[in-house]
Amino acid sequence: MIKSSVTPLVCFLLALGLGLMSYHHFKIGVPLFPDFSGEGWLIESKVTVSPSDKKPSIAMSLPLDNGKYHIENENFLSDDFALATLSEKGRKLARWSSKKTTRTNNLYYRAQIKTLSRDEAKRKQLLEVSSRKESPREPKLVKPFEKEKNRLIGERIYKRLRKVHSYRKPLAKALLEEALSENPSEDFKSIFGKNESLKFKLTAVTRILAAKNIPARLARGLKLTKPQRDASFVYWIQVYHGGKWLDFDPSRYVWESPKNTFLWKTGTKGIVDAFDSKRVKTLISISREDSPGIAAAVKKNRLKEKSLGAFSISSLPVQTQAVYRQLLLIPLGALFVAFLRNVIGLKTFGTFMPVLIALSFRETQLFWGIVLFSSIVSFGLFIRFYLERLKLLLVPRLTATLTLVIIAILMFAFLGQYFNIDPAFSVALFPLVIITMTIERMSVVWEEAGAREALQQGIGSLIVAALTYLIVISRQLEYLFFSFPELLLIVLGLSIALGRYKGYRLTEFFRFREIS
Amino acid sequence: MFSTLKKLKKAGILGINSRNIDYVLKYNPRKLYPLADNKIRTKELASEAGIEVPDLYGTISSVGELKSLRSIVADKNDFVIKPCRGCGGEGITVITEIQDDGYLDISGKFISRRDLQHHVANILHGLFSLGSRPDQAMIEYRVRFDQVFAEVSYKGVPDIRIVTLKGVPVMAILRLPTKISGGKANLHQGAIGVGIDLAKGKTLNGVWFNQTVSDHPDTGKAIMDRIIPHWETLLTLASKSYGLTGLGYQGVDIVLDRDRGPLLLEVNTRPGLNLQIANQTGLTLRLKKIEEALPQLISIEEKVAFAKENFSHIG
Repeated sequence: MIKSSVTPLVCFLLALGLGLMSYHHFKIGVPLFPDFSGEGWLIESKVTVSPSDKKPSIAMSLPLDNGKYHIENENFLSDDFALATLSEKGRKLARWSSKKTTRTNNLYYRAQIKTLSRDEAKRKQLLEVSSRKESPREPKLVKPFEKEKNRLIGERIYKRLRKVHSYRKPLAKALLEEALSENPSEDFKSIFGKNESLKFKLTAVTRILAAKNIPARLARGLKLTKPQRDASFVYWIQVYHGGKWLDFDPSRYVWESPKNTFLWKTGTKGIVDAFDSKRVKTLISISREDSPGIAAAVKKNRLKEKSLGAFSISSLPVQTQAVYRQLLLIPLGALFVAFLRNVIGLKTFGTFMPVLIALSFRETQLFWGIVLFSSIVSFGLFIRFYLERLKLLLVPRLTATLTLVIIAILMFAFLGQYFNIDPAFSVALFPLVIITMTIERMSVVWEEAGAREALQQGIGSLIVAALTYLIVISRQLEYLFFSFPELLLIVLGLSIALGRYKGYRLTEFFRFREIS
Repeated sequence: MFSTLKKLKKAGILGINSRNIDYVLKYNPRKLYPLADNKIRTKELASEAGIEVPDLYGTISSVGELKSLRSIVADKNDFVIKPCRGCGGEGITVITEIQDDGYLDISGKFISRRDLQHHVANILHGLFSLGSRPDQAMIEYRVRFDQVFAEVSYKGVPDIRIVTLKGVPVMAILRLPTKISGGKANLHQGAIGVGIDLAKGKTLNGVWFNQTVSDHPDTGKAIMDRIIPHWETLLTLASKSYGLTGLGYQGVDIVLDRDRGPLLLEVNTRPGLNLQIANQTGLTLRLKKIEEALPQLISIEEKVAFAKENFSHIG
């Protein structure tokens, strides 16, 4: 027999959750609202070094303040390696070295980056300009092409364009336009060979310019617009002109640095240089940091971060944090679905299907999410009705449906590429098995209870998913659950309380309205 | 909205949440579910207790046994094939005539021997079972329904569901198949639900797709004021069913056979709430009344008498 009263348990959970929360808020000073004023980002690079018999040594270029980005704080984690950081010629370098290693080491570098407001950025720039010493000499040139053939072709391209453009900027722009166009000239084609990468093309342009004594260099940085678990670099080019480096964004063909991009390093070489160590892997992850409040609170109370560590997710590696940020909101979404089902009385296919769909909407955005989801399910249903006539056994039939769903997704990817709709690619993140089961159940309901019931439940699920989506994308809620994981206890308490809700469902008012 | 809430409360309408918490979870221990979900078990228990059920001709549990279907029905004229753990009346095939090379079903359609074997194979693979679990097929006696319902049903077999609490009948509903329901006695598929006065076994108004109807849409005959034969036996049978399974809150499905009288079809662990609409009254008040009186109600006779005395619609 079930205990009839869950009130004490619910009260205990709520009190515990609220208690921990107020301790964190009032005692430690973790703010309830994130600081959105200057956006904060956390960049983490993880270099994985396989065991080595020799003395491995890893050098990594570190980023410096640039544009509107200010590095507030840097951390290193070095496992068995010794770390030295050095600054030279306006560059900053971290060097890890070790004796021979017998296990795999992970070398972490973490930078806390603050986005400055426009005024702050301007003030900083002025300060830098005034403090900088005059540098009369032009910077060093990059190496020209190694192959004689390429050098001659480069010379030829340069001469051809020189006839039209006499100044550095338009000349460089024309060169880039020719090199990056979808159909480059035969000359460029023979330089590029089979290499199609943007990085390679930009490097070729810097070499052509270098041969004519125009300093130009490759620049790489990270786009800080959304959290990423395996971020890749954005490349552009810088040309030296009038005593300073000018950025050129190859994606927009303008003399500006790429939007919202944090410059990490200039030059052709990658950020990590490994000596005497084979198999080095670098992984860069980016996460939003809307909790500078925690750091500030720790400082203020002179608490060591460790003492907070037991409760604070921000002490975990950035890559893991990104996972938890998503994970923590799932129970809240599920509680919301439970509410919509048991108190409002909406019908959905499967209990947690709407939550999973809502999570995948994060990638596709709501509009495309709904469009793609409905198209896939409709397509699946359509084919499923045909399968019904073949009288297949259950499990093979499900397998066939799953295969069809994946074919549908592949088609969307092709269509997406053709019409240039990015969200169509994210469709692969849809929970495929769940969609398959949805199609199966929807078709069974369709057969047994009619089209109306099936569509009602299908649309109901979609509405619930859309509403849940609004919860899982809320940055305020994400921040709250991230900073106060004890909120999960409150969610637990509420779901237990909801489990004993005996009242009517809103839809029952309509169902039983005939009785007076 | 609050006025609606008040109205529902006053009428004692039972909502799903309350049904699940106050009755299903409270009175039906999970371990007893298999007794109701597995129709072969239910049938066995009923037979042991001397309750009449449609005779079981045989069962098929594996694909290898498919061929034995022919020998099971060798000396019969007609039969019904059902999934053992089916739900919602799905997967039931009614055969009315056996021919040399196949069968005729209730709508007169010819079904070849292979087609019927495929259907049984689907049952075995769990196409119609709860949670798609592998299942058994049962072959049983075809009910010839009592002529009293001939005027108000379209094909199929009308059945009577009586909801009981600890063996005390609470409310009952007669379900009449229609053309739209495809001969099935399932309310949301389009069967008509008819309320029943528990004291006399007299039919009340019918509800069809949430609308009150007084005549059967296919036959045009009046639904109201028909007396259900063997009513006392029906109530007794429903009351006894509690002793079979031990499920405190159950819906007992019964059919009236022309020759054999009331037969227990199956037992439902979470009976639907639509019978409140058909009876124009709520379950809660009746259930509360029963819960108060339960300590005094020991024998089946007492329980049936209590229901007849208290749950009559006409004063």
